[in-house]
Amino acid sequence: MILHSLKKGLFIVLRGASGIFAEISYALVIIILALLVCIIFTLHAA
Amino acid sequence: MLLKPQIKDIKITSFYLGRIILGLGLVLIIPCLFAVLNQEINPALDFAISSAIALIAGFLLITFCKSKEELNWMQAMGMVSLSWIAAMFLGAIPLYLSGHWASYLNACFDAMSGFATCGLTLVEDLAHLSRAHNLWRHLMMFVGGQGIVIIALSLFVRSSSGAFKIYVGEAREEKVMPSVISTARFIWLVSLVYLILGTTTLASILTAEGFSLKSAIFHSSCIFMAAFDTGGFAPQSQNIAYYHSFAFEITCMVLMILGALNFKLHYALWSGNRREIIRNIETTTFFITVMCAFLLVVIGLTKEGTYPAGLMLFRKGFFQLISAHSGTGYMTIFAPQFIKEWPVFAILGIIAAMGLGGAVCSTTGGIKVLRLSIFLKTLGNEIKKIMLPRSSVVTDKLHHVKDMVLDERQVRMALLIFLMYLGLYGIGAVFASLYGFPFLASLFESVSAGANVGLSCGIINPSLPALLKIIYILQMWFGRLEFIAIFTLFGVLIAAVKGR
Repeated sequence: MILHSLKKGLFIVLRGASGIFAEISYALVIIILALLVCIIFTLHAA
Repeated sequence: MLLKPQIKDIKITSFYLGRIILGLGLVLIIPCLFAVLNQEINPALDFAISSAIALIAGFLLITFCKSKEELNWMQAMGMVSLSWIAAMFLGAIPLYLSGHWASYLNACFDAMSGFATCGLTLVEDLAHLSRAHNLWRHLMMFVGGQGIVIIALSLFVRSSSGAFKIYVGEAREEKVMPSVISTARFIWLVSLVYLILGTTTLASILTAEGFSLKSAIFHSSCIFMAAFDTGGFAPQSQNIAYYHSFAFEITCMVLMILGALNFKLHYALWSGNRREIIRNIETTTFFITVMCAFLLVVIGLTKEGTYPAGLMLFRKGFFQLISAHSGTGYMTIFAPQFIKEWPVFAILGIIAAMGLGGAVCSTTGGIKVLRLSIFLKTLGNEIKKIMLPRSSVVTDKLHHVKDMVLDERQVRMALLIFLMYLGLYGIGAVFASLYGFPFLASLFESVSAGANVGLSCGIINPSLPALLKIIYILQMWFGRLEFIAIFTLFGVLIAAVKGR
């Protein structure tokens, strides 16, 4: 029973690897864009 | 006419409540074992006592109120509301026994803050708190973020139609998978996968910064639990500023954003539907609102020249913003700096972000971006209807995992909860103002408590008047359960007095 659940879980994780990558990419895009906004505003203020 | 609750209603509610309390008693064994392994004898006793109380209470309720009946909606909603109160009282016992909380009320404040993934705290001398107690603070966030009921569903319920009613009561109206039990298990799977990834990344950074491996793993697992579950507790009083690491802050930002995503979206992406991340109404709205609120913050901060360097503006301004919008409450500045150094414009940006929150069916609090999308979509369509010829048909359509047409009930519920959150934020702000605090600071703390964020501008501290502490506890409770379950409980209590 436990082995079966583990196998099922592992399958979902392996299948979901590209999904995990997409989620992290989404977060990084927001962060990089915010960093660019900061640089632009600082340069403008200077 | 109100119908008085019957003995069988109390019995079945108590039976399921007993199961939740029993689950909590089992979770309390984890910090107890951790304390024993770390040779922290007094903390181990605190947790042994607390666990024993919870296990005995749970066992007694299950034994004396044994019932084979399924919960109806009223019983399920009442049970969920009560289980969060029971969790607060039981979770506060080890905190109070540690001696780091001045009163049991302060310990209850932190327990509710933990379970509701808020992050506001009244702890004293955090630097000298035992590791086991620190682990418990973060474990409460993990347990609360997943949903106390989810724990019980995963542990004790194999298949039950009552499970869905309990699940809805905990403000999770969306099922990820066909059965609620498999949904609960999927939520656990996502969290455990990110627990491994997140803790490993954070621990690697801390080890590179000079932490010992043991210490790095402890800090990383605590920070992960509070970041992914959008909680905000940290093992050190300086919060994330303690680590002085840009890479650590970036990792925390990623975890906070991931925590603010809908579990249904996680499922769609993990099933290979990668395009969903750019099509989903929640991710697009979240992206837009983050950028709009950040522009407010950046304009305010650059105008005042608070952080002249671009990198500092990012590390202070954006970190606080994403922490606010995801409902986490992690800080890289000290609480009083908000009021003393930040301009009003930037504070308003943070308040707006806190009030909105992340996605539904995630661990965040607040109004939620899906409800904002529904509100804006409905507003736009109403304007369209006025402008277009009378014969034209305007449909309220949006894409959330699949294309969906909004019905009147969905719109009404979204707007109702939207308004109730605004009321909740307003009530807390008025009460704090009555105690003499400035209105902006009062609003800041009220939104932070009501939206389960945890950012503070300094009002919330151990010397806060008792009534305000109780109001903030109620705000956290209402904000976490999204009103309906709690109003049902109040309805049942009124019916018990006035009903026939």
